[in-house]
Amino acid sequence: MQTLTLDAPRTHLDSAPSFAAAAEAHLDDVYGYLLYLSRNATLAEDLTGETFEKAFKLWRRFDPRRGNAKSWLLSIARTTALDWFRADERRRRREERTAVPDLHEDAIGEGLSPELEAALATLTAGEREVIALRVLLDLDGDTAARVLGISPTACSTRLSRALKRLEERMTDDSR
Amino acid sequence: MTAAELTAQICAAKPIAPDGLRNRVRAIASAEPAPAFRARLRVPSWRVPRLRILLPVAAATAVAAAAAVAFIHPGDRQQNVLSAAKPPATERSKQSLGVDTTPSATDSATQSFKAATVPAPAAGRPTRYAAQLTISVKNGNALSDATTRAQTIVRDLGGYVVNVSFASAESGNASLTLRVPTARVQDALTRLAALGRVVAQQAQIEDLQATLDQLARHAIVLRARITHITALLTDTTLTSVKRADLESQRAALQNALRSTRQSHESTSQDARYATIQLQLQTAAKAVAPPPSRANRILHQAGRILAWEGAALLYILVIAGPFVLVAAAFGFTARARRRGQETRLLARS
Repeated sequence: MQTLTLDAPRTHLDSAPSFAAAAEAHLDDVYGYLLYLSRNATLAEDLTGETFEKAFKLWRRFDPRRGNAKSWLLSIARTTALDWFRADERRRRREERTAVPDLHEDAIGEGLSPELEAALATLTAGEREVIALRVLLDLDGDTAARVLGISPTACSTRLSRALKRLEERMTDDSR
Repeated sequence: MTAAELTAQICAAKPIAPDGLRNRVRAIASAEPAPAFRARLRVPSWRVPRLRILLPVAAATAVAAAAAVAFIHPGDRQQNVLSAAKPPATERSKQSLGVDTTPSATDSATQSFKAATVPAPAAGRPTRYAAQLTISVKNGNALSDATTRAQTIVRDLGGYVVNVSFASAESGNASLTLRVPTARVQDALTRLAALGRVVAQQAQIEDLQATLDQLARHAIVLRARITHITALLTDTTLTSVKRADLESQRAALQNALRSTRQSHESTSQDARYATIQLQLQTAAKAVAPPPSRANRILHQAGRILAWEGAALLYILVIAGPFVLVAAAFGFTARARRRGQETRLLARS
């Protein structure tokens, strides 16, 4: 992806990927993260599309010196999802009388056992997202914490609690 | 199922974006050429690692600026030179009075006053000996002590103190008029010089032998005339008018003889006792030599650094409360936003 010329000095711009390459490389990561967060495939697709639209508009502000494209896209995805959750909560409050969940929950991923799928469903979105970032996407603690806007210690604590709850649910289901 | 098995299963079942979504994203990316990142002026993030760099850089810049300004404008040397060149008040007064302030006398700065530097009175001849001695002592306490010791020295040598004037202030001084036997004046001067640092000295010697001889001859003449008139008065044939005239002349001669004897006695007294005018003064503060260029640069740099520190302190004092309030607002808003996000994600 580098387009160096002989006369041009080497800068950090040389290591910046193009948006198309970044989108192609991290589409599954963003979609997986949003699917874990929302547990709804259609919503995850919509949020993913919205995320990349935002990212395309903001691409000029992406600075590879401050983080990689993956964490940058995940941060935008999280903001997009939180905005949707807020809007959805306001909408639910307005339609409280007819509060019938209009979102059905899909399978998070092919290959997960029904027990694990059910156990994941009992976790909160906050717990699922830290599992998605640290386990599914294999982000290191600092990067995941930066995406979540918390300290690395808090991120580790949150992951530990989420895995413990998940393990407890799985144990309960197996009895 | 253990946590490791759970994570392994989660990793193995990674969701794949559907083709429709992939095509949609590709369409977004290929809609128009994606604008490349452009270097821009970024607002620095006030994180601790940046502060670790920023603070030393700011301190180094402040020191470098102070050093540069001080090097270019190292301060006014002229004033220092003038103050150094200006002699102390005592020095100026001595010069105006024409006192002997030869380098050997003023620069010796020793307490071993050499009596031989002042002419000694001629042995066996009556002389009027007057000496002025200016001595510098360390401080007011030393001045008082030296004044007392000077009087003791004079009395020990058989002399006496004519008058003492003592003033103790920030720059104290004492003036003593001393009379000592002429034969022991050298000893007196030597011991008085040991009271402090000799700043100036002067001596006048006047030979009185001729004066005394003249007074003695005059007295002899007067006595002879008185004797002659007394002899004339023994003549019984003198008229009353002539007798009264001779008696009047004899009385006048007798008065003149008494006056001559008094003058002789006074002159002899002057010859027996020497007069010493002793001036004691506290040492003038040493005048600092003009500072070198390096010292002036350092001094100026220190002044600039102090000014920078004061300005920084002023800014901190003024802006500190506002910064603290803003930081408190920022932290509160951040914590509130995180709390809302946590609650929102917990409900979802």
